[in-house]
Amino acid sequence: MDHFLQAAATLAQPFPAIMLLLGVFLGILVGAIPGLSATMLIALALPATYLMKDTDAMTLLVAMYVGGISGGLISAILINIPGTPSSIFTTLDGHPMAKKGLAARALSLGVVSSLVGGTISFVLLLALAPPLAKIALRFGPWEFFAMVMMALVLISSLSGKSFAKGILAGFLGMLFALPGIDGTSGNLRFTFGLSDLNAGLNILPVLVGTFALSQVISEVGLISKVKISYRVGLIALIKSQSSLGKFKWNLLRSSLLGTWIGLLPGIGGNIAAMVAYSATRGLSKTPERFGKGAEEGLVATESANNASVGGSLIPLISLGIPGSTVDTILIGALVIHNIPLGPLLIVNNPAIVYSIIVTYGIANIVMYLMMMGFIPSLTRLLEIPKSLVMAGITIFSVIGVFAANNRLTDVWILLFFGIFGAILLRLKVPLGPFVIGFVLAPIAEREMRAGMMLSDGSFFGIVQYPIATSMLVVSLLIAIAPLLRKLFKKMQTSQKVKR
Amino acid sequence: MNQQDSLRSLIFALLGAAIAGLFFWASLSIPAPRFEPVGSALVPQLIAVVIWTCAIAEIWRWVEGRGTHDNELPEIEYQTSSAMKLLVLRIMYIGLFSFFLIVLGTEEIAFSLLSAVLFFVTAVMTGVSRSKKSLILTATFGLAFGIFVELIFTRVFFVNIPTLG
Repeated sequence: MDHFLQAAATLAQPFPAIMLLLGVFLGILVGAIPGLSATMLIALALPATYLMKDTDAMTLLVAMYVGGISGGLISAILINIPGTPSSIFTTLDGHPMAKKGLAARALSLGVVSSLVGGTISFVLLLALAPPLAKIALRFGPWEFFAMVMMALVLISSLSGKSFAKGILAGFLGMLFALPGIDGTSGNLRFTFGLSDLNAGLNILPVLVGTFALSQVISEVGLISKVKISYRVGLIALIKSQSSLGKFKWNLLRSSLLGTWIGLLPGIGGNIAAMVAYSATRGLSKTPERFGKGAEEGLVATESANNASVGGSLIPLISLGIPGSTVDTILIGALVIHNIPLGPLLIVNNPAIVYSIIVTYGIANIVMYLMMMGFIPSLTRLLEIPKSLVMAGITIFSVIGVFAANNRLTDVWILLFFGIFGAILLRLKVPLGPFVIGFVLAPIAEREMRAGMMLSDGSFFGIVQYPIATSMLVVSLLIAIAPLLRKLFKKMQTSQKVKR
Repeated sequence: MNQQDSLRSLIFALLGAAIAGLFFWASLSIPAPRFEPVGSALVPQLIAVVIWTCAIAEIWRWVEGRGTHDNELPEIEYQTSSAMKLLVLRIMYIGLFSFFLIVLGTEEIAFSLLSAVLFFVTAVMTGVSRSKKSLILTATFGLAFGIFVELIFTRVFFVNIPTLG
């Protein structure tokens, strides 16, 4: 409780408060512009956090996360283009409502649902993360290794159409984390004769290149023209907040679902929104109205996607495992500030943990106030040409990455990963598993080698640890599930043919 | 999965397998472990094996799916002519970006001027209107933006970049 109050008091000081407000505002702004995501914004903001105190850095980034997830609903409702992947399902009922002349009602319902989803998720984050970290303190190297592998397999299996493609991306990311001096043996490896790689690949150019510059390269040669169809006034927004009580069970159910889904590694707000939307439609008395402007559908998706943010922060805080792609960047920020990850985070750095939790709670309220106040102006900002935004992103990527270490090599690495990310985007390969593999590889290798030392060099020593073994078995089951499903289908078809 | 998705998966599988091959080959020259059982080479080799297994699975999927997409209409975006044009434009952009980095490395030209050029090139190549007025506005905005960024990063963050004057 002391740490909680301390974090709240810190946030009341001018600089952290400005970071909170700025983070939410920029998040909403970027979230509202189609094509720009919270992930990209947070990756770009990472270099700026170098000179900040660790708690202020996390405040800025978490606030951006909340704002970014919420801002996506504006363009989803007004122009039928989701500002972020999390708001894909918001378009289903939000835009039809806008077309019926109910844009203000749709926007205010979306904003209130986001606030409720975020608040319920905040309570769960506060209640679950610290006890979970205490349990994780009993984990040894094998358990951590198994947990990392399970996270990677889960992420890969859920982030794309093909499981093998996701796993391949994740393990490729792991390979790229290996160049440089091996921390355990001191051997130099995978530098390919380039002395600049002796220190390894810095996390910052990899993240910014993969998420930001890749997007710019992918946009080269494409022309997007988006026209704004609706303008919304502040008074109309406020008036539209009536009769929200009828959605109370929907809000609670969708928020709990969103938090739970966010908690699973690698599953983002879009899956949370999809599950909550499907559940609400399944329970609705008028399922035929879904997709044509059903208020229940909009409430479900928006509360769930915001709740998923809090859910995804639970494994990050308690286990040091990213719950989503954005969490990977938050891990990057912690690494940059030399803060060790894992369950010891809460023991050794309670100030950071509680600043993340408190920021998340307050950022939701700030998001609500800002969204209500700024939506009328934000609709105009959607008209900024995307090409100017892309040009700005390029310059910020270059100077941000260069400024971190005053090293031009890092900017070349940025370009390399920008190109590599653009290739992955072109090949429709999910970027999430690649980056998460990159971040988790050092942990996985370190823990596996420590585990093998404990087991006299045998990998099978892991069977003496039931938690680790069960996690590996679960990973294996997830991995072979698509194969089994295919075999089962084939058997069914051949049986039908025989009949 | 349509034909293009299938082809994309195949290309990715081959690319992944090639990168894994490169790392596996490089791992063969890492000295054997002396003080611990695993050594620096085993983990990358295991990762390479997993990548190859996944690549084989993807290639198998491509082989299985061949000839089942004959009736699909080609996507307009990926028609050969426009795809080639996009590819050439992107390679040009990467070339210009690399040239920007080479010039930045010489420390002869101020960052603000260089970034103004990169801003303008990026804006034009990502679709800013080609009218004279719009191009002049973009160039002016790019220069102002470059000077602003240079001032912020040299005066506030004390970053060592070539400056104006």
